[in-house]
Amino acid sequence: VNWWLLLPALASCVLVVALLGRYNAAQAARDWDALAPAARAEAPVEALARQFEGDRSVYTHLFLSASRERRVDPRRAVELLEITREFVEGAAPDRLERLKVMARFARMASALVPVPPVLPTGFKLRSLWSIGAIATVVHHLLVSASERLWWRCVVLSFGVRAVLGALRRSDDSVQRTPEMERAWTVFEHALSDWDLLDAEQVATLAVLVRSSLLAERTRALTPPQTL
Amino acid sequence: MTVELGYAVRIALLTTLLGLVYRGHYRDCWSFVVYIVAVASLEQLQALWPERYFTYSYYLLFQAFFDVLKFAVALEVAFRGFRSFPGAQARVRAILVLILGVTTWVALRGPFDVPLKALALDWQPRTQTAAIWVMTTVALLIVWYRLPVPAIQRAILLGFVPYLTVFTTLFSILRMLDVADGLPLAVVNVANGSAYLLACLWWAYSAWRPHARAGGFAAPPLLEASA
Repeated sequence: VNWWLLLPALASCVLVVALLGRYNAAQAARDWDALAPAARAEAPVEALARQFEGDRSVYTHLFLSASRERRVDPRRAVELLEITREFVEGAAPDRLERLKVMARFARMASALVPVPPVLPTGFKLRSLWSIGAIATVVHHLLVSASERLWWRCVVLSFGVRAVLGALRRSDDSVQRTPEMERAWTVFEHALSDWDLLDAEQVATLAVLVRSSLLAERTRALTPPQTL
Repeated sequence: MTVELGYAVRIALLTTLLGLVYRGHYRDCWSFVVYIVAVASLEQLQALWPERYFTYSYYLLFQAFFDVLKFAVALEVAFRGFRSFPGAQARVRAILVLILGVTTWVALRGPFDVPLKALALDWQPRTQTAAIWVMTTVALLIVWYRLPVPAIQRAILLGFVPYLTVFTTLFSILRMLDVADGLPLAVVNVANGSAYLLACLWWAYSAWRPHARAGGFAAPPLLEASA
């Protein structure tokens, strides 16, 4: 038996039946339709930036209050730090869901606008710096802009999860030992990295929207194709 | 048994053809219509005049014609599915050229100066595997880019790939046993005919299904502009 012929054929069969069998073309079409109106304006990018700015002002205020209370009322400081962490945790599902949807759209978009990599330089947490470094290397190995856009969404999702982990760990340490300086520093760095991730998420949405806009304009200039 | 299976297959193919015409799906894949007409008519020719057309030379000739049509089906699905997506189209074109190059090389490595029976056993699995690879590539890229392909194109690929896998497996078994006649051939013919009948019934069901065009959705406005 020609196993080198037979085995790939069997594997192909399983793949096609599993993936194409479950593939929902109608849902894909609805996603494409959803992409079109979003592409008509950059309003969603601005709205997202505004939402993130609002979030930032809340958790920055909470964290600064907690830092101030450290010298005066350590118990109150610990409470405020916990509220800060809970606020950020509450904002995370929205970000992760958006990144998931953007990753799905990224594979569909021609991504005509160049996609910059998520650079490690701005991150303060070591885990985020590592994620950024790996992301930059992989970014340059990928060929098409849409793959890079998809990869960017994946990296940002990892980043959000890593920051949440750092916030939880440092908050736990502060709950146990409020005077632990390092835990406060890690918390502050995690919030700073959260800001950066938000900014990267807004930039990602902007790339996606601009790519779609450009694609629509390019298509309008093209004469209709006939078979 | 094989004769009855042959008639059942031709009835299923005619039902598919009628469904494609009645529902208007023939416009989604012209080469599939040609394939169905070719299989139904040439196999009827074999059934009517077996002493003239049911020979290894004609079998190989007909199979070669069917194989060309299978490749045409896969390439037409790829062309129609990807034509509105320039980025994805460039990618699929490069991958298909690579696969067709490799499979041509694999096919050409087969023996030429052997009896027709041996040629059928050696040549058929190679060509069918090539068709499976091309169809799998197209199917996976459709899923990867989330393209809104018509339901009938999805059904065509979902029918072909499992059937061709069964066909390749059965021929590989015959090749391993090194027999192309007698009981093993009869058993393989029945198994192969049954598998093909299942594929034809699946196509007939898909061809007659209402709203099957474009995956059960109206053509998305984003694509209408460029189609």
